[in-house]
Amino acid sequence: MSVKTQRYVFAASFLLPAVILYTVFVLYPAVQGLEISFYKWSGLSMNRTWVGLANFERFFRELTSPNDFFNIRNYLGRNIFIFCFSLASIFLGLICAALIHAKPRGANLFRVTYFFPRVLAVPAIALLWSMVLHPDYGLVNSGLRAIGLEELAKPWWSLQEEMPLQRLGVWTMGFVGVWAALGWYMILFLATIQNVPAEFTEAAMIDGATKAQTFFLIVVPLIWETLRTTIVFAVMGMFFVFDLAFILFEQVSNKNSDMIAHYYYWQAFGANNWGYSSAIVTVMFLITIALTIGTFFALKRESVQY
Amino acid sequence: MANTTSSFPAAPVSRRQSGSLALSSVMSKIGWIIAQVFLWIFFASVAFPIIWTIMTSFKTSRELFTNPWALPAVPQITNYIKAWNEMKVGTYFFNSVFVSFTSLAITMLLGSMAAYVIARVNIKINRGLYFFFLAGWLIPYFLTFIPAWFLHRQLGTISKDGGHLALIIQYSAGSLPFTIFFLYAFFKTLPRELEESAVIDGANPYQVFFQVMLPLAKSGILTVGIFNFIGIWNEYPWALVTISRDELKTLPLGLANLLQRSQYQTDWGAMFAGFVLTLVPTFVVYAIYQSRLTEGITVGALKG
Repeated sequence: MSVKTQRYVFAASFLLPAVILYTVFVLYPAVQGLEISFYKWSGLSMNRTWVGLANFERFFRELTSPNDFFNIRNYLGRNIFIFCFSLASIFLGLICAALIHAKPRGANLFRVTYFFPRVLAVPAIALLWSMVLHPDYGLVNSGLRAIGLEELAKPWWSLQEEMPLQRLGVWTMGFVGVWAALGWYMILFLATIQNVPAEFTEAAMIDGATKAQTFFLIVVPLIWETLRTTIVFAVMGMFFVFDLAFILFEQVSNKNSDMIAHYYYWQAFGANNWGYSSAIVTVMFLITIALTIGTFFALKRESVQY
Repeated sequence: MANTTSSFPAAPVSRRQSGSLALSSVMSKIGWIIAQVFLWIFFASVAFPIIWTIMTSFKTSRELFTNPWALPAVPQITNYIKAWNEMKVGTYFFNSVFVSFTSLAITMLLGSMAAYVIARVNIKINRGLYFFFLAGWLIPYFLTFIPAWFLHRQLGTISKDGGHLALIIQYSAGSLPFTIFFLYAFFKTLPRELEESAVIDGANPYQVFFQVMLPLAKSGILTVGIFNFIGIWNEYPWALVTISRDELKTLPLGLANLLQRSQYQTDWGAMFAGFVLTLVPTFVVYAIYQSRLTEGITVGALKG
């Protein structure tokens, strides 16, 4: 065997297992997911009927003329609402990283505790907060009652309000989302900030810039790539938020806090409309691609080498 | 300057503008105090609920109902015994351990092999292969969800005899893009001389990889491994639709069960104990790896 052949045999033997596993169980299903969007399929047998764009038309119809039962507009609205909380957690993570980088008392304690929610499973987060915010026996409400602030003790997980964004539970979920994600962003930005050479910030300080100015005008442009990546990833996940709301509301209290992911989950596993469900995912996928590319270029800055 | 490590060094800021010296230093002091308060509040929001949960797990339900803030009069160890036996936390825990470590082993082995070849062996399609795997990172999880479910049903992995196969296969396949993306960047940074000298010493490519390169990539592999582990250990939706038998359930499913039970559960002490038990492995892993997590991020491709 020539050296070249040997090299290719080696490469193939190392690549094939990964390529096969990935193609069969990730790529092939993804392509199939796009394909199923064009069929009417109950998923119970192999029989499926080609319906062309009918699934997409149905989606468009439900979007433009919402009925009381399924209101896709509300679902998407809630997705965007929760997305604002992801942006907030990125921003707060950045601020926390900057503060912790300045080495306040307890910096190490903050670093270790802040990241902790990230390693918790989403059901664990849901369980923890449903107990802490329990209307009767929870940590928060009983504390508020104990100090005489009875009227601030709210039913935090309530979904009672008619107007979708006024539901207290959705707000609470947003805050729990920030609680869970902040530490991850903090660690990420902290690691990046630590790589910024101290000369830059020192020079700015000597020139009379305040700490805040130094951070936003010197450090942020230097770590812009990381910041942009996190925002792009948040955009990519915008319409696929599922776990927390599903466990807290649908699984436990059977109330719907529906976001778009719950709707297509229900269409597939609840109503057996696999074709329609896939069509919804496909539309969301295409929108996500457009938004991701848009964000990617909108946030493009000349990269700074250091 | 020794004592300024814990407060803002205000001096250089206002050295030039002596007129506004007092004001700007007061402002930055106030800003720093507000910032500190915020840091401590967020710290409390993480630490308090967890400490409270652990405390409550040692109380009787009656104690919780009368005063949720009070310490337990007598620590109720029975809560834990009940939780372990009745809530099957042990079963869920061992299922999670089995599924996570098997998937992790598969994805790390196959991923590092592929990443190594793509990064360091010239086969002309390296760049194409890189994007081929990267594409998987951009595919939404839910797009593969339905077809993958159907595929596994046809393969018989979602059935009584399938055990955890549907989980293991999907977790290890799904973790490949991230693993390869990250390790590719890592293998790229290793010096070429090491490989060459091993080849001169008569090592074949397989020996070069397993005996020279893999040990060198240890820190990268560990970092990716931890991230993969956290993701796999916590995965919920796929487990929800593929696992229905109680004895096969993983911890996230078990936790969701526990949460459902909390709606009509009267024995709150035991429920809290069950929850704390599920946290123990997380605490252990976190205590061991938290320093490495912070360091590890700088190693790979995440730095812009």
